[in-house]
Amino acid sequence: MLRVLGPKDLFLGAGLALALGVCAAGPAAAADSVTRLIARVEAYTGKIDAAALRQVCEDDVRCAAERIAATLGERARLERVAHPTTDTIRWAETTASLGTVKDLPKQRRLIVLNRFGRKVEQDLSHALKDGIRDIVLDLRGNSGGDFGRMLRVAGLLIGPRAEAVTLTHRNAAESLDVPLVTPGARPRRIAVLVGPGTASSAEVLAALLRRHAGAEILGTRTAGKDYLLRVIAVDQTWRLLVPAERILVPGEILAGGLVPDRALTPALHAALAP
Amino acid sequence: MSHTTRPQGFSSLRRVSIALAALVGAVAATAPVASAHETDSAYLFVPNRGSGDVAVIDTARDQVVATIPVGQVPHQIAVSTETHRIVATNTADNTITIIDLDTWKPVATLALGIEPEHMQISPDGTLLAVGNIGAGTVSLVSLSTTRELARVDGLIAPHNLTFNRDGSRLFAANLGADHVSVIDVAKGRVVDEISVSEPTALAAKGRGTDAEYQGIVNVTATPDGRLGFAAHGEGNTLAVIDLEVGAKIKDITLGELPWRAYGTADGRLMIVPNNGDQTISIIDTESQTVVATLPGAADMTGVNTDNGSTTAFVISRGEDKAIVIDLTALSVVGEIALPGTPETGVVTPDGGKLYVALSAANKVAVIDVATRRVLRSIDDVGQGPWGATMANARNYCH
Repeated sequence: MLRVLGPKDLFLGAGLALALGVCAAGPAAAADSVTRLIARVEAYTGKIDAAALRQVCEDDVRCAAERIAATLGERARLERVAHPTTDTIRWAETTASLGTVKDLPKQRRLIVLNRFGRKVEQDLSHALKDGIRDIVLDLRGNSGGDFGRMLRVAGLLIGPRAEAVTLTHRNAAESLDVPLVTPGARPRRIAVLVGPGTASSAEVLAALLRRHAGAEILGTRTAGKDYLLRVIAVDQTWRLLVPAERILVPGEILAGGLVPDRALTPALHAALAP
Repeated sequence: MSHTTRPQGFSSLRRVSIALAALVGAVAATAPVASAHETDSAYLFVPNRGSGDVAVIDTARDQVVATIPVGQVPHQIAVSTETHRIVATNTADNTITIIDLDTWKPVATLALGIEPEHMQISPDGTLLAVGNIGAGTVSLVSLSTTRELARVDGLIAPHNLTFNRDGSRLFAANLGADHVSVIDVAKGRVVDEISVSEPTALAAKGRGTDAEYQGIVNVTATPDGRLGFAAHGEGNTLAVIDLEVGAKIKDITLGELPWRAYGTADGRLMIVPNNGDQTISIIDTESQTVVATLPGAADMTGVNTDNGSTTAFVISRGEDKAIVIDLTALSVVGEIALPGTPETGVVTPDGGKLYVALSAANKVAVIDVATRRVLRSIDDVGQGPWGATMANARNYCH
């Protein structure tokens, strides 16, 4: 007979909750928060043994989320919610996506893209104004973020591209386009700076720029995070990040990290210094 | 008389359920009553976040005629002509102040959950729903008895709230999630969730989301209460919800990072500002399709329409202006420069004027709806005017 686990057992049995298929729980529970959480996660992970989960967690949705995260492995995680203020809600305050923007010799402009924030599209459009021809896009400190916004950044820089990204999800695959984004001045040539701090969406952006715009990638190998997480709300305080799809950029290898075309030259490194 | 009511706990759930069931029964049996105080519609109520008060403006003279002290950081005002109450949410105090509509004097201060922010009054005017955005709860308050009847948990940063036609169900927009929660008012609990969008896709190392994550701001109902429109702020979709059945019936693709839908008085159109690509989507509610995509501006967090449903004013905080849209031609026909940073506004019940709160300027702009011009600005209304509310008007908050 299955022992009913208590809170102290949480995280001790990775794989246990989903592996237990023997539990004969009572009558099906009415749709509650645990049931709804399971349904949301199952859309990306396949069947979850709800009965086993309920034996452990009963109606405790956070407990259920912890068990699910443990079962899904290290890529899944529970994340404490950073609550917005009224100013962030109303767009009055946003965290900047761009760092340094400065002109370099030979009509090049350095744009440090640190994140894919809510105003990244407007900020980048602004930075591309003034008829600049070539850009150096510094992604060395960009650890990724919202995938849709990243695709729109790609669209802003290189224009629309059909079927530029493939997402594989269990036994299915889905192609995504780089969208048409209202054009500002698109750069003629792009150099991308990467390093181990370049991760996830930022790696995909670098790969897209190389594949579709002939961008040269300079620096060192990137982090190699090639999967999408789906953000699933658990409760007021926690979100569950569920690894859902693997990201492929046809013609590029993301797994293990994107390999740059060459190292950052001392001359360029010196030119980039503040 | 002023008193404070402590929130109900689960131990009293049965008693609360009975009270709520009785209240909903009364709602269903009683047709909405017209206000006995026609002059109520002559006054504009402005919450001042900085000074912790509510300015009362006589709209005939466009002058501040009273200032009502409330709590800290009042965010929204709601008016019930049926119970003769004005309510202010005091976000920083975790309270609401209930004010007598006739005397403009506070009659009760209720302690609610963390950060009570947005409110909705039931169709019969007797029940107030308050979203405690910092607690993930919704308080149900009787405006007749000025008591909190129930506190519903299981929400995720509840933002705006929408009652269905008979007041038996409440749809809560979860800013921190991808779904709308359906609250059974009589039971005082969440009974269903309606998915608005698939979960946000992230590819990120380290922390995945931040405080700017924005799920659903509002469920905007058509005037007949049949349909609700809920945009997801992290994507580009608008869900059409059958509010009678409580189920999504369609997704509509919008521009990027939509704010929320605003309906016209005739129910024909929904207007959605998209702050990601700075466009405005116009949706025909009958065909449930986008019939126009118009150029917008930065940080659009308010839309007002005239009573004839021919003109829309889209408020841009980022550019201190209102974009004027001809809703017949479905085109932008002009802009109105505003003397300060606009927040939200309200069109007077007679349709003549649009009042817009200008937060940093401590003013309220008065716009003539017919000529689409600023008539004047009302100075010194208080510190940080945040919105504009009138009785018997189509009010909204951010």
